[in-house]
Amino acid sequence: MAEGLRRVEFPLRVEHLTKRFWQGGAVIEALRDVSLTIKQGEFLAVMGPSGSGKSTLLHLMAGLTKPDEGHVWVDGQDLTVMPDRVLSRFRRRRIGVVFQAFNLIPTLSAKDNILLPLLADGQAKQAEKVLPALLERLDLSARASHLPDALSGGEQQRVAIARAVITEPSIILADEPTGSLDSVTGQSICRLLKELCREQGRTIVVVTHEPAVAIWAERIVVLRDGRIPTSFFTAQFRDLHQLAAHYQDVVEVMPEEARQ
Amino acid sequence: MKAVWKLGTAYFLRHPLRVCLTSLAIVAAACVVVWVVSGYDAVVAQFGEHAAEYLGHYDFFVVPEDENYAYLSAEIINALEQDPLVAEVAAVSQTPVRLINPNAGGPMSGGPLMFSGRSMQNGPRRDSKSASGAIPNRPPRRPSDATGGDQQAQGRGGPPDARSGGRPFFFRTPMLVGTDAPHPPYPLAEGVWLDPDLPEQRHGVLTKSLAEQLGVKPGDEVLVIFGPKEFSLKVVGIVEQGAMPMGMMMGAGATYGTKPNAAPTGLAAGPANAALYVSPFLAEKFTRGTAKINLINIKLKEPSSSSHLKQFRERWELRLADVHPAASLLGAGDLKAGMEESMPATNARRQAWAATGLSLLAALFIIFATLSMGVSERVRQFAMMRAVGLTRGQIAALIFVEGGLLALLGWAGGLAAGWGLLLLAAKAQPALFPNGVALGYRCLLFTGLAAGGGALAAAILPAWRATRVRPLDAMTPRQTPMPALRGLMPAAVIGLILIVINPLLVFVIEATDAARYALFEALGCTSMSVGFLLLAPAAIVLVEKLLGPVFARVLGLAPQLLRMQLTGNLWRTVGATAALCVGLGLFVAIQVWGYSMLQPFVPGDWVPDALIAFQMGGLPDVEIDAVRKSEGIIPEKCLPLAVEQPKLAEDLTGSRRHASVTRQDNVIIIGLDPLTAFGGSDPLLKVRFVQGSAEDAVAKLSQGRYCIVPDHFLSATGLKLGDRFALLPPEHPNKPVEYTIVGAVSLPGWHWMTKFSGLRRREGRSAAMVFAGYEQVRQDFELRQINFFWTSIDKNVGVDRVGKLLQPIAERNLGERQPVNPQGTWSFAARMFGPSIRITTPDDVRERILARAEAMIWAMSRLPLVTLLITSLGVVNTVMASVRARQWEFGVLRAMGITRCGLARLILAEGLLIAVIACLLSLGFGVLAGWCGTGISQYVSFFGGMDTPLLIPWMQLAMGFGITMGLCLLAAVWPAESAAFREPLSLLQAGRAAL
Repeated sequence: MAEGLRRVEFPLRVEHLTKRFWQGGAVIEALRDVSLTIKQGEFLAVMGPSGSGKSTLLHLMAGLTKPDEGHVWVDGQDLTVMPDRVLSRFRRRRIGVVFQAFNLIPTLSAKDNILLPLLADGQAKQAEKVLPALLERLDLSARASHLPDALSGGEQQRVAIARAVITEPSIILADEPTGSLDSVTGQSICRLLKELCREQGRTIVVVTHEPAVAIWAERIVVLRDGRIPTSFFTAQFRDLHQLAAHYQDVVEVMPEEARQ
Repeated sequence: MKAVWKLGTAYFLRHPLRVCLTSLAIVAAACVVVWVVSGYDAVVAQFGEHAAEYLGHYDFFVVPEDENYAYLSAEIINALEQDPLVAEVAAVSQTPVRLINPNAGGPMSGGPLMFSGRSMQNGPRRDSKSASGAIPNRPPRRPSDATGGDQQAQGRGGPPDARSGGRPFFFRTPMLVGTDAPHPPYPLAEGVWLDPDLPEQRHGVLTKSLAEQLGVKPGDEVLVIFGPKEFSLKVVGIVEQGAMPMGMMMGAGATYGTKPNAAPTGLAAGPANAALYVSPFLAEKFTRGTAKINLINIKLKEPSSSSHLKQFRERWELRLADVHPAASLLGAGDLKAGMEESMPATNARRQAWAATGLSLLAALFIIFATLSMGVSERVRQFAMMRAVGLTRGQIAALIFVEGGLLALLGWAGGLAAGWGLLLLAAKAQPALFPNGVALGYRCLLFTGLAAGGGALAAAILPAWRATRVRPLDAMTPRQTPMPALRGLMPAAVIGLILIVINPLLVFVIEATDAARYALFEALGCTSMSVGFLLLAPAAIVLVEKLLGPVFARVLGLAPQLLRMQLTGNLWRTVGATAALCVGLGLFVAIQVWGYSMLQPFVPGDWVPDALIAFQMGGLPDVEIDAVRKSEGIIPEKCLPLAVEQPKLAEDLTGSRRHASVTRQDNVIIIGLDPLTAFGGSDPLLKVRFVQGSAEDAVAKLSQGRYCIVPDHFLSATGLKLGDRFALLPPEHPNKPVEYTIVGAVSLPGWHWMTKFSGLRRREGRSAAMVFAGYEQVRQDFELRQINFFWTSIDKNVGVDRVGKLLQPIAERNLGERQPVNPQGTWSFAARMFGPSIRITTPDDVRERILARAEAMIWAMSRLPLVTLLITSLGVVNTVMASVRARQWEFGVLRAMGITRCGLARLILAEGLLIAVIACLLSLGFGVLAGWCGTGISQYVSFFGGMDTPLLIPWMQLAMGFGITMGLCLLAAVWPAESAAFREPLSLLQAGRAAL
């Protein structure tokens, strides 16, 4: 386990989460009564078709928005009752977030982007000690001073991952981290996340609609229409195709009328 | 075009807030123009009415044009009477006189109503109150010269000169008008008109304003004083006469301040506003035969016929110019034209143009910033438009359409809002609008020029940028490279070269005054403004680089977060900064120019503690010691002064060509003990010798006709040390006395020290204060008595006590009031002790001049500050756009853990950085413009000619900079609040949608 990681049995827990959105006068329930528990060091994938609520679940877990009902517990702290100032600090220190694309601040170098959470905390100086090793680990040493527009998609995403881990957070949340990448680069990102989980005992939650990404996780939670109909472990599948077939079965369960 | 129109209006509907903010700023700018230009419209709207009032019963008048022969020949009168179009010809003489109401008692009133600016007339004085501003009398120096009032002042013998008629300055001189017209020229208010069949009857008719001033009505008696003689007559009627149209006295024909001895010609020779009408017989008698016909009033048979008017004018205009003496024909049109050129109208016109210019610039930069933002945000849209087939011209037209729509909204809104505000203000405070309010064609034109002109100019660069977008940019997102300082250097270098042009034109290049001023206006100011504009991008990059980290630390932010905050969209920042600089730069320039120009007029440390004047009578030599020994006076630092104000024998300063504060036809010569004044280690007058030395000067002054002059006197005259110049003693103008210059000193503030102290004995203005030996001056100018002392005062006693203690000395030496300029009698302008003692201290003068100057400078600064306020709306727009463009980035920052407060401080920092850049650019522009302004003033301003060191009033500038920082901070509050209080997810989603 990485130095500085806090050992908590269930670093992430959501209970009875419900989130509604207003869209053109109608109320859309993106999530309905979702509960989920994630163990320390677990690599979890959240899958589901477009509009299933998976990104909404991730955003709630990251404290980027508040649920209409339910709670989110990170390291035993309920995010839903935290004031914004406290939540911001908490997110800065305990939660690492990786977005799909346009992750980085275009006017900051790769190094400054990585240090961003620590800059916000006024602790950039301390990170200087661990930064070289992290850059080395992510194969970014030669690109540290470059601006994002000078980096490839894969390099940008690696910078985003470095930024997510620099504060030794309790959890890392990645929203479609390979969505803007080609398949080869995407696989390298997944491998990197897996290594971080295995080598450093990091708890990682990845949202994806791609089975090729989800297979890297230990457990897959499927979301459909804002609910979790099922979850399963990837170890039970022989290969990607089997996994993909099972996933298709889960998400494409049709109503009786449609079969006739 | 339809597609362009549709795209433009769709963009507007998509960004209502931006459109509102931009339009609001243009509305405000247009409001300023409406406010100022309507004042001009109101002034002009009255010209027709004023002209008709002034003409009265008549349609034309004929006036002399030759100042050397200011009368009209009988030949013209006869010819006019023969003209078939003419119904009536009334030839009148107008001669300045003094009028007294013998039954009024108390202060002398009615005349001369105010100082005529040139001559002192003899005559008894009833009282010594100075507040009426009546000309004080001088005792006749030679009894045999009591033949004419002007004579003594002019120092020449002979009868009063009819040419010199006491031309009207600011104030009106009563005129004795000899007329045999059967009808009054203006409607009768009371009584009856003169009977032309009884010319010898001692009857007179007064104009209403004069009657009110004298306090007389029909049946009362008035005394007419001309020279030493008095004549009494009975007032039989009063005519209504409207006030002379504003500016008539300083109209095209007036000669104020330029030719002191010229007779009135042109408009200035028109019908007198303060008149006593008598028969020609009485006029001849009262003026002892010197009254001459100098005005002919003409009434046509059919004045309403335009063809008759035109015919008459065509027939007589050229003919009158050819006769001798030359004359000119003036009608309603000429009066109106004269009023257009009058100072109030000219000032109103200048203000109108200034307001329009400022508003145009403000509108230009605000619209520029808005259009630039739009172009930067829509690069991919433009690429798609190009990809689907729109031409470059259509893209450019789109930008112009957007700019035009913004201008139209601003113009219409500004007119409506401005007019509404004016009506409200005129209703609430009618006293503020003496000319009323009017929305004439000028308002429409000037506001349209400001809004439309600004929009057109503002759209050029954004339109060009938009046309640079390639269709391929729609496929791949184009990364806009961040501007590097190196890339902006060429523009900065060109900017610096352009900036240097103005100082070169003003201070280095040899040219005539007129050519220099024309170049300054047309080329210098423009090149300097463009130069600073070209410097702006580099300034933005530099400030962000150098001051960004400082601001970050002050605001508790990571310095990296402020990097490229402004340069991320450089043109948007340039627009907002330039808009702020329009008002702020002008404010700085006015403050620097004003306080620098003020410097030479503020009494310096050389002035002793007190200048004591004995204004009634004078002190014989035996009393000088009594003054010295008076409590509070430091005896060894008390100097009696022998003072006179003689004319220069030659026009050394060029006053006839171009009068100014240093170019006049006389000097104030002060005879004093040179050793006490300038010698030793602690002289009374601690002057700085610019040429020569104190030791040499002290030695020479004791030996004869040697003098010390102010440094500007040498510049104005071209004289140098060792040169001589001649002065004309008033008592013996035919016997000039020559003085040799042995030293030149710096004398800041001598003008104002002499203005109120009584030192100006003969004239309202003087070219220099000259020091010479005490005995020599007394001898040359026959000064038997002493009226002035310069002295140090014991601070423990104080000036007030000294004044009281000197009163007994004054009382036992009372006599006739000494000649003095009117300001030297104003009771508020110095400390009076009894009727005679007047004490002027440098502290009092400084306080007065600084208060007055500060009020004037701040009045001039109002418009620029209003412009600054308006352009701060542009900053709101800029910061809002910046926030909008970076929503996704802000969402990421919030996701990373930046607090709301941290995000808000980041956005506020952007507003503050824009303010700092504007302050720095404005400081540079303003100081340079102010400095060049003081330089050009030497050549064209009445107040030029003095050595004017550059003074930067930091306290006043700090106020302007503080206002700017405050406005920009305020402008950033709303955008900061709107971003900071959104959920991080909301920012991410909105930002992604924008991308």
